[in-house]
Amino acid sequence: MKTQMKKYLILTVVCFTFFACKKEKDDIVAPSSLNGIFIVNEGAFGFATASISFLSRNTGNLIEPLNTFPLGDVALSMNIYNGYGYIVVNNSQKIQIVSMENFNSDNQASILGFSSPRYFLPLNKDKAYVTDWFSDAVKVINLNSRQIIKSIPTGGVGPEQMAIANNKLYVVNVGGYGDDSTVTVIDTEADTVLKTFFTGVDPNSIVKDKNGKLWILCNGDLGADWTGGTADDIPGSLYRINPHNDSIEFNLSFSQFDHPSRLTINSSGNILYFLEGMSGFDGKIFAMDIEDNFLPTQPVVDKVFYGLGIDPVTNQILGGFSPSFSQQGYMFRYTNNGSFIDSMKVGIAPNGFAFN
Amino acid sequence: MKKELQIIILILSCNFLFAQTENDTSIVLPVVEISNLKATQSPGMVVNKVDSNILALNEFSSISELLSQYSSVHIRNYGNGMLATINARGLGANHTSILWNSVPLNSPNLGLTDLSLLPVFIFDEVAVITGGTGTLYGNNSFGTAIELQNNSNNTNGIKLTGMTESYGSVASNVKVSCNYKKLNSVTTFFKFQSKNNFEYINTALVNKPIQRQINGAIQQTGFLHVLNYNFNNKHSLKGGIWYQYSEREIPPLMFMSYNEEIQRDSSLRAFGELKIIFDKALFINNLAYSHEYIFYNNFLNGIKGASDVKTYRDEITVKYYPVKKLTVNVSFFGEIAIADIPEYKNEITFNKTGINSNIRYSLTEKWIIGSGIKKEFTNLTKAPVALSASIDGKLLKNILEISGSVSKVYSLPTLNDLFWKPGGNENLKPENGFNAQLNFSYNYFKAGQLSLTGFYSFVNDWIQWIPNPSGIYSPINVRQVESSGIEASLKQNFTFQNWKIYLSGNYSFTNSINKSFEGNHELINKQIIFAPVHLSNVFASVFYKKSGLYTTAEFTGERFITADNSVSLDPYLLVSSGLIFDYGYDRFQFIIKPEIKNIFNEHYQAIPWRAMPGRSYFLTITMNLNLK
Repeated sequence: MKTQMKKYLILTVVCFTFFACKKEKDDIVAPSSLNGIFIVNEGAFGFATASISFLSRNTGNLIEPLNTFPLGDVALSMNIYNGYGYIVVNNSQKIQIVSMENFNSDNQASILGFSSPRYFLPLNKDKAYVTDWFSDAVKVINLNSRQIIKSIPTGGVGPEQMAIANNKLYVVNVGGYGDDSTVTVIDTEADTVLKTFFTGVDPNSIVKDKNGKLWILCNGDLGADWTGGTADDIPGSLYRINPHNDSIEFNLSFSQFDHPSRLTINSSGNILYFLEGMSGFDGKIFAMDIEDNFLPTQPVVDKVFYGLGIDPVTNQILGGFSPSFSQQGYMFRYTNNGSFIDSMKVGIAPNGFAFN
Repeated sequence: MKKELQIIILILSCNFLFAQTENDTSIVLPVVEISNLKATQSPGMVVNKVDSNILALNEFSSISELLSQYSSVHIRNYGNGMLATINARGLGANHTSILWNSVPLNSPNLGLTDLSLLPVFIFDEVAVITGGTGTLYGNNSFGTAIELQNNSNNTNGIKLTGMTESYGSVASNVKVSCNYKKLNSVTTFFKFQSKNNFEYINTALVNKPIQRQINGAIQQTGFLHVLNYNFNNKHSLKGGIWYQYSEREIPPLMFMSYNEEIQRDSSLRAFGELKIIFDKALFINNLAYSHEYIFYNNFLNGIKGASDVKTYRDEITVKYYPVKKLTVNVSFFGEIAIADIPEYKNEITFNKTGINSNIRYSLTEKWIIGSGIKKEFTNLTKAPVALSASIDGKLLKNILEISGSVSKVYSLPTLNDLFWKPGGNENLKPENGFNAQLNFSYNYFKAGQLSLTGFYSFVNDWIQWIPNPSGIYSPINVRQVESSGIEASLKQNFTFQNWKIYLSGNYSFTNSINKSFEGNHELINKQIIFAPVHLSNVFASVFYKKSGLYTTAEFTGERFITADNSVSLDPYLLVSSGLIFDYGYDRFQFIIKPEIKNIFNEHYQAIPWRAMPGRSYFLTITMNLNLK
């Protein structure tokens, strides 16, 4: 009996030992403070391989992917506002809301009811706006109920990025699968269209500078042959708008074969950055002081990128490099004068960044 | 122990075949003539015909479902009833020729065939051919071909079959066979509709809720008429006309809340074949016509399109037997395809002429060697020459068969590759490469066969659509792909008194990798996306007299969905089972067949985020009257 008990005891100890040795499930643990850079990885259209990577300022470590849940298809942009991240997942027709306290919380919410959401812009803690391509409208979101409360037709095609100035919402209409040249101005109190004005062909991005002026970058067009660098190209352009009277203060035209995109501005609001290339959705990184009245002729970073961001804390230039839509991409970091710092592997097709 | 072993050996030695037992097969088969497969023209081909009883069990399936369960080829299935293409040995859908009574079905604009639109019911023979197929089947054949045949039928009879299924599917087939003196005809009508509103677990959402598929309804209708006229025992005329129409709603992907897409496909195909047998020669003239129309509309984003392609083809084949051991095959063909597709800007006419020759020589009674050459001339692209050399042999008193082939092959760019706006590239070169295959087939106890095949393929200038410097997707000859592996299959019959047991199984191991990729070294030595390394299926049936039970199991291994193999889809196993109750008497059959598919309710994805049905229940009723 004693021998038998001894055998059972040994067996039990062995079993517990094995259980104790069992490797802890390799879960991604969200950092206690999500203080750092979020890389928005678009993924391949139709494959739902969108993801968010995260570079922590505290540890310097990269977590790829940060999301442990399936994010969806084609993550286009991310905004962090009032303790939450709002990720626009275009082909999943939703805005995914994540908490900055616990990114992978089980109690997540989505805002649904879109046909093709593009960009999210909060007005205040109660209200935000989302551009929606296929409905050619701006959706008004109640951030408390997290629902669409109104749809504002822009009168243009393919509403894209937005900016707020003087209690007005400025929406650039990039043309969707075609062309447009308009900017829609919306009253942010009444949520009605005030006016529409014209810019260059296919305005794709808009920012506000330290003086409160609006800058609009226009892609131009590849022409009927759908090929850049040919005689029928319409060049890109850059406009500066005075939001007090919505007048065009001046505009600059790029060379015929240049189709710029992804206009962004540094935290001081005085240096513009954008991608310039032949395709209209990628290019080398150029920088321009808002006091200049001429376009830069040389890139600050001589490498073609798909995504662009400027770190508001360090002023580092962040480039999203995408070898293809079927493999992981890279984030490249540069100083603000274009000196290479490092690069790291992120998700598929990094197209933008958010900062916390 | 010795005694038990002897009994086991005795059972395994039973060599009564299905056909030898009079009128007690559960599905009565009409008498069929010897197969007309093109593959028989050349040694070095491995022909895997799907057993006719299996065809009868799957009459409401599509060819895509049939091949997925009963062959070694991988089917890329974009959803239940949705687009299904063949990806044999890790290569592309445009690298396998699909033929109907020797008429190519691969569309000239896409280079592929949607196998979900091919109903099993209308065909008498389905065969997967591997080997030096390039010289026989020409363009679109890198070592695999699928032949679908309609054979002459010497019976008079009518067969009515109806099916219903648990997620709103209803189907009916009618087949009428008439035989009068030298003329026989078979007319088949089919109709299928399904709400396709099955339940599935939506793993794209955080809570993984159970949802019902929406916007996935399908309807399909059509007919096939085949006529055979035998002038005498040497000369014959055969013709057929096949029309079908299908309309499919395209369901949203699992991460989308709704979708509003539809696709309509209609096709009219016709062929005529004249065979004249001389003393030492055979003359065949094959005429074919096809008209395929596809309409697509996405109400959500306003994108819509239509394609209209007509093809005319004539092929003359002369088989000459100058001496007993030698067969010389020479074929001339001409083909015109007219594509009216708005995205081409102008109507495109694609002319092709060609000549191919195959030689078969019997070295001895047991060893045959062969060689082939094919050259095509087109008005759009310069086609390389296809070459092949092959050998067939028998050893060990004909129990062991060996078959080997090496061939130089190619695939022409499709009309979409050349002319689609935006992006089409008129400077594309044909894909080209070679393949080699060695097969051992062991036929044991006269009722079983074990087959093992090793294969190797290399593709140069593989065409892939990637963004050009303007950012527009455009096809370029961008990479080299190497595919190698093994395929194993087993077939075994057991018959004992009133019992019949049939087993079959297939397994394939495929290593299909990029050997080079222009401008992207990270993709080198990575497995081609969607190509599983492991693939397997098993079928077993047990019959007592005319009734019985059958089971299938289909395993698909892990598949990568990114070119750098960073993301993959999980493997899955699907098991289905059914019963057959045959209450027939004399010339009349009445068969009831209940079936459960995906018995274990496996929730899987064949293609990312396209919902697939879980467990589903089918009931099929067949009435078959043979009038002798």
